[in-house]
Amino acid sequence: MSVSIVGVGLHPFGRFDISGREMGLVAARAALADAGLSWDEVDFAAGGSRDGGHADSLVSDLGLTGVPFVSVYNGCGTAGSAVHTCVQAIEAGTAEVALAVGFDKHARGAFASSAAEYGLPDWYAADGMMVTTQFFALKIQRYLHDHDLDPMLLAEIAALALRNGSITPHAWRRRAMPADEIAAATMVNDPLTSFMFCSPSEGGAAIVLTSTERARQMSARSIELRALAFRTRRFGTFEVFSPWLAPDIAAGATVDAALAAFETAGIGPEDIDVAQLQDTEAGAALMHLAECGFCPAGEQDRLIRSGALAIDGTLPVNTDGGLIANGEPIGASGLRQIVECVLQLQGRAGDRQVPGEPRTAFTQVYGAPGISVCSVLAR
Amino acid sequence: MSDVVASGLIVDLDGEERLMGARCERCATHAFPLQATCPRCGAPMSAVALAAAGTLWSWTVQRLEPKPPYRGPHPFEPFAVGYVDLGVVRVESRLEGKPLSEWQIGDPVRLAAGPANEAGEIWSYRFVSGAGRGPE
Repeated sequence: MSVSIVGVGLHPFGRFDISGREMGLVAARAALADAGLSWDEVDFAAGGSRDGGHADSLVSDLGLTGVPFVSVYNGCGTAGSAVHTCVQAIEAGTAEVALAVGFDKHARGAFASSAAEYGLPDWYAADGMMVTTQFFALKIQRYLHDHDLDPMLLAEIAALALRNGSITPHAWRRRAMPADEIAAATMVNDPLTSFMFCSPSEGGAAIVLTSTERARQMSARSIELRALAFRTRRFGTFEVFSPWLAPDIAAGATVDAALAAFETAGIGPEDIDVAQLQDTEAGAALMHLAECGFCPAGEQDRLIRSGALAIDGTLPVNTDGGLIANGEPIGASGLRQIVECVLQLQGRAGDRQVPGEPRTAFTQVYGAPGISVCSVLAR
Repeated sequence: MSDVVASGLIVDLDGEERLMGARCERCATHAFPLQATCPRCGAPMSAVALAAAGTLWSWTVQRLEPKPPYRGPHPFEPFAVGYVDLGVVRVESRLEGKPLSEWQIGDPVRLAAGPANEAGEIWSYRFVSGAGRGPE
């Protein structure tokens, strides 16, 4: 690929008194300022939000320049889709400078989902089976069984996220918590307790992209987007809102997207210096380590207990606390991961800076109804 | 709230209640509940009665009340839920007949009728602890 990131911006994640749109504006303006560009120099934009307003309506605040602005929605992959749309426009030569922005503002508690919107019968939701947290629990319960993994690993990986969140200024949950306390917290869906889940939250994130050629002229610190791969599920995967599963479980969309991203980038998981993975809950974090290729399935205990995933480890993961510490404003979440990787690669991550001047980074989002977007970044 | 009716969900086969699933006429993939076209190959599917019993493939406990349109007792009562391996397909179901935290992967379970609406029509199903006639 020949696309680079020249600016990043965030609105903090958490709960705030301003609208979702306003958080998107804060992030977009911050990314433009970081790039040293003005809105009228942007000739393509894409953005998304589930509950925070129409992304394309940001033009009425940023400026009515006539710029093409595509609004996207792909569940937890919304931000990834916005970036994907921008990358395609730049690679196709139809855009020179593109803005990808995401923001959201969700009600408290698990998302309420309509059965009809997913093509499911009414009884499925009425009988209490259309619940996202329930799906995560059913999936990790079987995974722990199949791979003979200690359920305590769920508390340990959540503790890593909260520890990183405690030193991240924009994170929502800022209190580190020992694994024992996480394991003993209120059980939500066995084996997952309340502090093992991310919660729907609020926030905004944005990046400015341009061709790598132009990026190198603009800034010495631009970060190359070496690969961005977007995949939907294939037959037989284990997804949310499934009244039935096939007898043979197929590898999920993350496996396909991660493989494709590494192939395009020409490097492998062993070459990655810092990674941001979709930890919607602790089980997802555990499974995604293997699905992205960072260890064989069932060997996550070695990565977690050796300290490899800590900020000073060999594979720092979710250095800003991930979704567990930041919550999940759906439109912004995947962009937050990319922003964090850019800051880490540029040496601008403050107290949570990965030592040793990391050169490569990886991001992964995964969401309903079985989509994944993975990226590889490098300086 | 309007009644939730799930016509064709449960069929009576030789005096035994069975869930109605779907079988692809081309690639033999099974699905649940009945759907018109195959999720694997797109060919038409026809109705097929699934096994009346199987084994528990995964489980959890729903300890917080689901948001509407959840329709359960007030106040909320936590319930177990899991996937039941019926051979050709794994079906998600509420589980009954055991203390909530005592379910284990591999437990034998069999189909039972679920709740009825005001008109007396059964609109969902349960799997309950115990052996039954499983997949052939």
